[in-house]
Amino acid sequence: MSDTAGVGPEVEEQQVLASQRGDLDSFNKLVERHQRQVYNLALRMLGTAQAAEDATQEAFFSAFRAIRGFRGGNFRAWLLRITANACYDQLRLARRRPTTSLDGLMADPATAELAALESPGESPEDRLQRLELAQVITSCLVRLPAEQRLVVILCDVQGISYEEAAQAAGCSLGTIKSRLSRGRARLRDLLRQHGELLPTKFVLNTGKE
Amino acid sequence: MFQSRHCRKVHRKLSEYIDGYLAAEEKHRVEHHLESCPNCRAELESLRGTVELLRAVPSMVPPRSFALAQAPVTLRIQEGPTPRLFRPAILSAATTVLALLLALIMAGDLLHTFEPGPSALPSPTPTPTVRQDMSSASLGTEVPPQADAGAEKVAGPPAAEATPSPQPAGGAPSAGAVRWIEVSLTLVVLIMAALTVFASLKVGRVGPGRG
Repeated sequence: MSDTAGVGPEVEEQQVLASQRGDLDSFNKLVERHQRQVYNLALRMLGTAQAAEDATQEAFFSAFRAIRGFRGGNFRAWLLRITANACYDQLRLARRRPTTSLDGLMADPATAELAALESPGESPEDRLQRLELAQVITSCLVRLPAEQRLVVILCDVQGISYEEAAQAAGCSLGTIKSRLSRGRARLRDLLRQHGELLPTKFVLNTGKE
Repeated sequence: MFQSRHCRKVHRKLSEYIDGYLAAEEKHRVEHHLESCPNCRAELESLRGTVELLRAVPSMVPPRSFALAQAPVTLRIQEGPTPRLFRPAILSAATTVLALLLALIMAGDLLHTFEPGPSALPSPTPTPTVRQDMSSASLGTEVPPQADAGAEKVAGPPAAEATPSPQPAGGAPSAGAVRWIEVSLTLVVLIMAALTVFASLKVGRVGPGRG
């Protein structure tokens, strides 16, 4: 999902090293490459575009402050872990603030506009259906425990490997497997409950009635 | 619906089975069970359907660029308690050590203030004479040298006889003022050191270290 096309790992490594020396331009190249994935992780974790924007910005601030502590390896997984932390902070903040309750935060699923869905060659109707799907899925996702939600988003929505998800979530491979298994089953149950909200093109294959 | 123990065990493996993460032997066991168990097949299909829906969730274009401008970064570093870029932990440790050293020096200086040592005497008389005077004074009154300042006020005539000049009595208020200034300065330095230690302890919340 990150815009890594045309940029090899060596280039990214150089940019990371330059960022560690305080080179903001190099860091901003990393931001541009990964911001879409970071933003989408935050959007599916938090459920609203505004909260996702705040968490994304905070994640990049934190990453810039902490990049000297990055000791090589998978930069994307490291960045996603910082993003997950920023999302947890947002969720904690929303729970503490009576004015911005968690319900309020989650009652507004995927407020991203149609314009945010870049889909060349797609008919307006298909685009709308995919947005509706995203809204239903997000409203179900935010009802999962945050740890399960994170793993489901990383592995299923973003399609990253178990190993990378383990690094991003800061847990073992076994924990990823069990969280994903439980998260999927729980999400399936939620989608069964709200199946009528799904666009006709995306009906859940329940396997049984 | 009734589920055998074996079915429950297979259910737990279905997620990994979908993603192709099962080892060959385990995969065969699951497939063998699926052939004979319609309930587990239905469970597998429903989970597959869920994963397909999740994979169809579109990726949104961010509403703006999140590239960091110079000004906001500087602002954040100033606002934030821990500008990691400048290794605050090391700086804090250095500041703490310096502050403690300063406090020690000042404390030492403070103790020195109470002593009516030879350096405090403006008399141009040679050192041996002063020593003789002081030793006779301490022999006569049997007051330890540290208590001299207090003894002067209480003992009166004998102490006055023993002291070669009335300078210490005249200098007492200024020494007291100096003492208070030094005490308050030491306190300020200690408070600053404590604050620095506290700030350095708060370093590191942000970052990939949280489990």
